[in-house]
Amino acid sequence: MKTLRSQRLALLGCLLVANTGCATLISGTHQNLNVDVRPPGSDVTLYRWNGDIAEGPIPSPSTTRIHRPKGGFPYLAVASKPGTCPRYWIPTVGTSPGGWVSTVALMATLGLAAICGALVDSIDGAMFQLDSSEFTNVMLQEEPCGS
Amino acid sequence: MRQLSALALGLVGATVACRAVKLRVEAPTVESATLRTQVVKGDPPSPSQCSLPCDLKIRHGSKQQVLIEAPGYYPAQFTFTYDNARVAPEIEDDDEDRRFLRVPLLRRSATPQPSPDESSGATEPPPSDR
Repeated sequence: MKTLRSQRLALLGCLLVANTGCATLISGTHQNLNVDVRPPGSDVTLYRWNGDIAEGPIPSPSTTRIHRPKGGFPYLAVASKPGTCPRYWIPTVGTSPGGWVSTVALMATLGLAAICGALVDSIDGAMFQLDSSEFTNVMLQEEPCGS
Repeated sequence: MRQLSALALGLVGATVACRAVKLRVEAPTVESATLRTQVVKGDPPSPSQCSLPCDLKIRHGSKQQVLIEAPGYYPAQFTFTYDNARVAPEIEDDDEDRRFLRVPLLRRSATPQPSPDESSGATEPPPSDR
């Protein structure tokens, strides 16, 4: 009887470990971001909403690895170059491929292990990704800046 | 009875989920800045313009164009939605359940660009770094 209980506990532990951080294992906590802002020499900085810099300045054009948005909290992106008008936008936060797997696992099993996994994936950002297309073909306007 | 309870619970949940979000907008390092909004979709925020820092009430389902201007800085213009406000970080130990957004404004470069609202225009050019 005791052996059976310990086996079940071991199985539960294995499930917990296997499912924890599913998206973290598949997609990782970082993503590639292609930045293409014109004129050349511009750069992009990603700010957290408390005003701290999360990533950057990222020179353009370039491809860089950035941390996925933790908890799905969006960044505030600012593209700038001295002498031109900076462009501000809030990049769209979507679900990463690993995030989809984690979500499906959560819905299919509705188990504690899956919930733990989804929680880990959400906190470390692996569930999410920035829409890379919003960082390409960005054109900065010459001064004077219109309002 | 049970159905009524479920209905009441659902209504309360929907009210909480759809209520307006109070958002404090700040522009750190800037002495005086003004914020103006233009509605793109839904109800306008209140107030629709103010001096920073200021508290905006963002209505459910709304989308607005936000413009922040300060003398000596480039204007910041971006689209802001109710969903953005909903996920903004909360102000700690705040009874009013407010959230906040700090918008970094960039200083104008050394090239003199007289602006109509800069009366003196004689301020020394700041470095272009942020």
